[in-house]
Amino acid sequence: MSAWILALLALVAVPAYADSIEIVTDRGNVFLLDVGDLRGADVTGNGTGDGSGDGTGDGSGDGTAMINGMGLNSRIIHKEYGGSMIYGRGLSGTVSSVRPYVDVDTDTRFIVSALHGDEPSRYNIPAFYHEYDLSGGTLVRSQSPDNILGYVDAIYTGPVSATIRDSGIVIEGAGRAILELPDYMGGDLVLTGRLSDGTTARLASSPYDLAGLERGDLGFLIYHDNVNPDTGSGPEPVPPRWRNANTPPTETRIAVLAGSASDSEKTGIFSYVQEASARWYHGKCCRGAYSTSGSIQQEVVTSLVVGAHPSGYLQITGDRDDPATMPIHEIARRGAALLSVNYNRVADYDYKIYDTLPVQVHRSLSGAFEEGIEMPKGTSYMVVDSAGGTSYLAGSALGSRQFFEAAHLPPDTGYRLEKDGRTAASGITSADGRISVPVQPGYGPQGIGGTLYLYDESLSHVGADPETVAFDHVNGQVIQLDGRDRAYNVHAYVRVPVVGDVQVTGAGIGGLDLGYLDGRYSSGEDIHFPVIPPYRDVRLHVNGVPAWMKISDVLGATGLKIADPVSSTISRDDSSGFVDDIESTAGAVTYMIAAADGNAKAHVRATVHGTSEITNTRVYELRPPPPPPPAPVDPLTTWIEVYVNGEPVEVGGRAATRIHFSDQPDEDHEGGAGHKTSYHTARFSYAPVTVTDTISVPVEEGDFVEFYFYSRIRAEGTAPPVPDGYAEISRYGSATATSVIDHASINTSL
Amino acid sequence: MNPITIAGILAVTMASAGMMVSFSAQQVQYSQAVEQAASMQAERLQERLAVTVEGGVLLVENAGPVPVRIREIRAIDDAGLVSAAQPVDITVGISGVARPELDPGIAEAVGRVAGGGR
Repeated sequence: MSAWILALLALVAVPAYADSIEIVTDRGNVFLLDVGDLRGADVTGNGTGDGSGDGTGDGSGDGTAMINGMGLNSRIIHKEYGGSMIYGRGLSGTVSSVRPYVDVDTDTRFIVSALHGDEPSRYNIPAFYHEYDLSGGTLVRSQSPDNILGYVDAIYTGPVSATIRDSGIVIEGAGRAILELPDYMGGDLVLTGRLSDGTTARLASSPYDLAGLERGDLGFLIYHDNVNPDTGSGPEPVPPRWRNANTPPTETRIAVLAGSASDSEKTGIFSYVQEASARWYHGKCCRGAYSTSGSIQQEVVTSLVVGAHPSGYLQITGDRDDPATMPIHEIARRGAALLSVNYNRVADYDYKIYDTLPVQVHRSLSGAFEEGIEMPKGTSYMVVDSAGGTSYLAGSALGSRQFFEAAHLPPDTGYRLEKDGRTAASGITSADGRISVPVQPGYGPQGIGGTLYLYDESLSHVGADPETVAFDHVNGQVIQLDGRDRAYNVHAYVRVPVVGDVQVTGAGIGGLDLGYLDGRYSSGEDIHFPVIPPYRDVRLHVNGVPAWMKISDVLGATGLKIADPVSSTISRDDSSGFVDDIESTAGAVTYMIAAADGNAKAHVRATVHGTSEITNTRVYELRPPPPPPPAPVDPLTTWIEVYVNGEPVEVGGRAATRIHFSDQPDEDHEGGAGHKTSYHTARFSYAPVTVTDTISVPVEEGDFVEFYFYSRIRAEGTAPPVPDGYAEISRYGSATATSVIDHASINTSL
Repeated sequence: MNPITIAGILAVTMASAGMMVSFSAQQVQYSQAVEQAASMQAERLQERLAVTVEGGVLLVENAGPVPVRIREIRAIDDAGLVSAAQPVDITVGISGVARPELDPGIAEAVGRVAGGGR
């Protein structure tokens, strides 16, 4: 029988051979004298335990080497994990921080456990809305669709010009170019562009034929008429009421113009002839006096003031000159005294309304961008305000294209799409190695292209009804177990050092076969048995001889854990809805195996902090007033969860014990309005704080007790209210949260 | 100021100070506990004993860098059960060797091991 087997049998309790002496120290180490089958040897054997867990043996074949190698140096080791879990249905999923236990829905079809050290493969995505093949280590784009963006007429202001080329439209110079686009009949286009610094472009439509409108210094003449001041005009006439008054108001609303409002700035000219008639008397009053009269006219030309009326129409206000400024003294006779003055108008008021840009803007663009856009029906315009230099615009028919498609990827592999620094989509590749992410109309953030991360080194599970899926990261295996629907990241292992060349068969823990551990091992190698609750022992056949040991007998199961600093960042984007909340969790797990009945205790001391930012935006047809800032509601909390043999344990009637709560972060709340948008942004920053607490749970001998300590930052997003008279067109939101544990120690004891 | 008011303020101040002292002491206690545990864990990992039997005598040699205190000697039978246990309190210094006096049950087991029989 090989020495290896004998050594193992010294460690495990195999009834046919065991006869041994144990030395127990007050620090909890157990040193073994075990000669096993060395009957008759002149040296009966010795036992050493250095507690270092290096698992090396000299392989000389004597008792010392055997026990060193296969016995006392077996230890439970612990793995630190950070990263993210991706799980869901179809090909897209949800991202959360890695934790020992992650509950999933029962209809979950895939789970990916992507650890920080997994080093996902990274591929540059030159542009979205294309199909790619993974070939030669890069994403190769399929044939680019033809450019169909052009213009049929152009209006220039300033030294700017546009030209059409096969690849798109080129704008050069500084000024405003209004390009009349052909009718794309409401089709979907992928607009791409690279605009020079400071240059903006706006896709717009207009109720007017801009090229046919008269243009003046004030812009496009969009309306002109005259109004009788007695009756006014428009659907809600408001006649001026100052006629024949001696002290007329200086401002009068004269009309409400039919037609929907737009967001452009309207100005106008308001003109009329103003008359003042005066009467003078001569001589002393009332005795032989006589009077004379005269009149004077002047044309008043002033600016219109145009604003939004609550009815949705435009309200036009004529700003009149004060008639008292008319020079009536010029027609007075010498020595006469002014008796009275009347002010009159002598004709209807003429007004002309100009609009600098009478359009409805559908999309504002700047920098480098690519967007799937539903084009307006009818004539549309691309208004380019060029700050100089050269800018490029192009457009292609979306057709059946998706937001992102790729083929020939590794199958059943977790992926994450990043665009503009945020996760745009995540999930798993199909069994035939494809990703297809549908078009997200009106996707908020801009920027061309992005990055595809393939977690081809990460473990994943694909299949219906996951129950408990255990990720054995050390052995690179995924195990499906009966139980509740959840993922379990194995963090403790029984490490058995190997001495000699042996054949291991029938490896497992408890009743769970771990066939992937079977095989041939040589000196210097270790066998890592995952510790998965509720299994309590390790078993294997060494060269056909059965052996087993209780996990609770292996050293290293209790004590102090100093956790590595850990942080976790989660980001989310929603192109068609608000982000209601976001949370990020950073944690550390430790465990103990109860050597006796009693209370398992964990004392935690840690420094935690975190930040979050969440923004929700509404889009309107008009520029809205800024909303009030959101109320601060978001906390940073730290918790301890306890699991005994894999089952969560309530402490004090709660599944998790909260040991810290802070709702006093440095806050920055903002409610603002942009171009036809209003938004709520809430930023929270929690300064580092040291938290400490002790938790205790009753256990029985042999129980595997896990203490999961974590810090969680959670931010709730609020939506800006809709102002009266405004109708929301679309909405979107984005958020990011980072939770950090700088230092943590968890001391477990029984 | 009213003497009663002054007395009240003093009482509240003293109570607050007492709470602060108590809280601070608790923090120190926790901190010490963690440090002590860390130290014990480090020493535990350094323990190294060589256990041999020569001439029927159990020899325990401290081959590690820290003194070791032995609290118990156990005999494990061939069913994997503890057949005898002997509480002891022997400290073995660095590079030291201990020859513990054994109870009959333990001695018998050691003899059996030394003799190579069952």
